[in-house]
Amino acid sequence: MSSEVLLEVKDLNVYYRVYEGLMHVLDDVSFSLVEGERLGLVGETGCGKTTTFRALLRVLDSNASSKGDILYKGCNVNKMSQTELLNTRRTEMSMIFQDPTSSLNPVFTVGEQISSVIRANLQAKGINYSENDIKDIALKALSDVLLPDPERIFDSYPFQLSGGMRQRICIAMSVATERKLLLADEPGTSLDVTIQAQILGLLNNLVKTTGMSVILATHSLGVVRETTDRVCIMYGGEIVEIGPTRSLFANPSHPYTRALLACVPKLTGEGIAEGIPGEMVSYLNPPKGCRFQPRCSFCNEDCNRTKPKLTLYEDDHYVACHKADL
Amino acid sequence: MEIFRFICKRTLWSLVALVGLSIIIFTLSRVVPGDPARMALGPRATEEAVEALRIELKLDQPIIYQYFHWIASVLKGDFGLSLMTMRSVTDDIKIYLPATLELVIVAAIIQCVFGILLGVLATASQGSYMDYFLRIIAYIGVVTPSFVFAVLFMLLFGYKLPILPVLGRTSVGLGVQPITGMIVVDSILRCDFPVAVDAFVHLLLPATALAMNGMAQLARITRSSMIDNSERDYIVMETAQGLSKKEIFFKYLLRPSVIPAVSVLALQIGALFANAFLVESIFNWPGLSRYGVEAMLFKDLNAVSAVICIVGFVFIIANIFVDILVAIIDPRVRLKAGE
Repeated sequence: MSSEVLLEVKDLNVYYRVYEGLMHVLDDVSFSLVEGERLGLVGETGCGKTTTFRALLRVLDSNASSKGDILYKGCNVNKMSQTELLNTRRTEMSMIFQDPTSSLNPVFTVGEQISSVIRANLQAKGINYSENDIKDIALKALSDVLLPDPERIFDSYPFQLSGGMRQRICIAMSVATERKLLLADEPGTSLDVTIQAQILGLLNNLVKTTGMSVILATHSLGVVRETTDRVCIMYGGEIVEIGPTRSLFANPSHPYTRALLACVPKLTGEGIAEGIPGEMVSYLNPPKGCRFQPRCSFCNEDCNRTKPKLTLYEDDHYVACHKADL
Repeated sequence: MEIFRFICKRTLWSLVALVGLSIIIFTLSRVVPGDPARMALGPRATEEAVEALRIELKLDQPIIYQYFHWIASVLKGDFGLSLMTMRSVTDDIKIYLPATLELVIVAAIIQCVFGILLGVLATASQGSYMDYFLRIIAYIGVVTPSFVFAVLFMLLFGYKLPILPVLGRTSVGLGVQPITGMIVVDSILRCDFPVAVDAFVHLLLPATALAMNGMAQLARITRSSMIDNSERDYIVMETAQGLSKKEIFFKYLLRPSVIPAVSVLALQIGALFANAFLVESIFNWPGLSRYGVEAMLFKDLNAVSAVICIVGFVFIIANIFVDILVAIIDPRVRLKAGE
């Protein structure tokens, strides 16, 4: 694995303007990724995983604004021109969307949609192509994600296919042409367990054979443990803990990470996990200090007043907590 | 062929609607108070003459018999005698229907094409002065009745800036041997192009006045549905995959967004016939709507039933046409209806 830095995110802040005021969703998110690395992004629903991804590609909703530096191969995505941005989206980064039922255009065939994506990629690379080449690439991508009868699916409309099939089409679209960085937003959520395992195996293979990097957003800790090199734990729009997967699972030091791990049901069946008491942070009016503090059983005055910074805990393992030594 | 199956199914249902329509028209025309025979002959006619006409019109027979008698002759293309003009209603309609049809078809095309075009333009310039300007125009267009537009156009183009003709279907002395009765179509068929141009120019003002309401409505629907759809996941996904703005806007955003506008078009064709009456009166257009209103005021039962029947028939045909259009644009309609 080369150690060239591919992506470096520095102090990324995202705000949403809504009727009630300004929501401060992402708060100083910083992380980096080297080539060929697999990074897990874990956190409960609404913690900002999808927002992070959409900020990386600059496809946030029109009421959102993003501040901070997103350095992709040294270029700041937030300052790119439209052409540079288009080329980055076509050849460098690609995102698998979370909700397969709404991520495909209802009035076009799967084939038309996937062909558009492939055509844009080939154009950006300046490769000559025929419509037959595009169809071949599309059919190969569809069979790569284990879809039966790709020819038929190519000519189908999204509403004629099941949710799991549509999910795999979304994945096929993102990996049909070679990219350097794949942003996978819960790619297995709507698949059954057997297919999910196959898809994750497929993504793993892609990383190995093409040297592609992956950021995998999920709330499944098991998946993260199996398929990533490093893990990033998010809570309420902040990164609370980041470190090598093995070290983080062996030594979870943020109270939220520990609570999250405690929630995983045990195969031995020792009762049902308790969950984490309390509610998600309100982005309209987030706490001044640590965002997890209202739900934390270790908090004190300090946590109330000042925001903890990510500090080195052990080898390459950072945690943002005043009480991390507990 | 799924689209063929869709058309067959749609047409069969329309036949059911037509039977229902005929029953309603017939019942309404018979329950209105007043004696049509007396109305036709005037107050001075003798009781015997009125009675004779009543028998001739089968008004003395049971209502069920009257209905089947009426339906049988309608199917033969015979709507009976007009009490107003004392001619066959069918002959009257042959004269008046093509004029209105021509007007309504051109108005429907104008409102569909320009309504959607303005909606797209407003979306493309969203937030700019162009957008505000178009939205204000659209509000005015929706709330202003078409006869106001008719009068305004007449003042503007017939008096202040006389560049377009404002009266009648053709200039005096021009004309064409009828085939369909629609002068533009007939003159093209007979290769008489000066007349075709003249008739088309005569159509422009009345058709535009008639189209204004619907055009404004369609522009608003198109704009709001495009803006609504532009934040859908699939558009975000297509943007994230690096498709060009042009491809997303004109292909992936436009097609799902025109569906509601095209569906509304079906309803608006009905409104076009209704509004045609005042526009026809103002532009001195010898059309069916004017004929129909005069027949109603005269209590000319045969003519009224015929006009409503014909308008209903045209409305149903137009609806089938619009439904087919929607089915072509939207695969969900086309494929699910075939199941």
